[in-house]
Amino acid sequence: MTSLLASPHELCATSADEEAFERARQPALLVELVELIETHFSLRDADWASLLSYLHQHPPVIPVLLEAPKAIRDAFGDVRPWLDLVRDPDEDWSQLFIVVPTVESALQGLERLRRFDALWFRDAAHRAEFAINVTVEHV
Amino acid sequence: MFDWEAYLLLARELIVSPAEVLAEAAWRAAASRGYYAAHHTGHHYLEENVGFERGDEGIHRAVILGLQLEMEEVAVDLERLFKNRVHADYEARTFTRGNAEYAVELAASIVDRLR
Repeated sequence: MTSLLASPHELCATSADEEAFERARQPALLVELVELIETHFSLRDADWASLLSYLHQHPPVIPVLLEAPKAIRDAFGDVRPWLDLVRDPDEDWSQLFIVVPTVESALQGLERLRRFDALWFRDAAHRAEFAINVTVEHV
Repeated sequence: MFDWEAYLLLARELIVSPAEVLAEAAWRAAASRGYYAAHHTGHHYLEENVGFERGDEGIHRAVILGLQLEMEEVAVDLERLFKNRVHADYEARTFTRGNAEYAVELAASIVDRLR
């Protein structure tokens, strides 16, 4: 008997079946993503419509966002980051940012950001095709 | 020829001891000058080293994308600085001295790597 936990590759006979399977499970991923964002982030310069539209245009960002809360907690401790969709006021482009609030000095914050880059973000940025960035903001 | 690193020196001067009534304006100006020191240094680096060609995108995006191909960690930092500068130049929410200091340190680190 085929397990319900089998991979799409085992469940699907053709690549068209696999694509249909992946399409059908997108809503579950979306629900997981929305729950994660509500739990771990605050939307600041972004609304749900523009954020979801951005994620639709840049799907490689989604798995990185799902990993981000743990990576941020490991590097910065118990903080609640903002999600900002930064729009260039002069030029027509947007970039999604995770903004980590900090009370540390500039040098300490930068040093911590460097460690975070080395431990997780450098690789994550590649996987997200550079469509997400992480920065710190002094509060 | 103007040396864009002078903007970095100006940024450091602006942070030091502005009159209290001008403090936040000085910190915002420092962050903005820091960004432009890094942006122009990056633009110059691309022109000198890789025959920089700009596509349809604006100049700020073009420099970040150009650096992404050559020195991706610098490109990530320049984009961080760009975000800080959008806050400094366009957003009314409080801009702290810490944010200005962060911008200047980040700009100095970018300029160092592009020299």
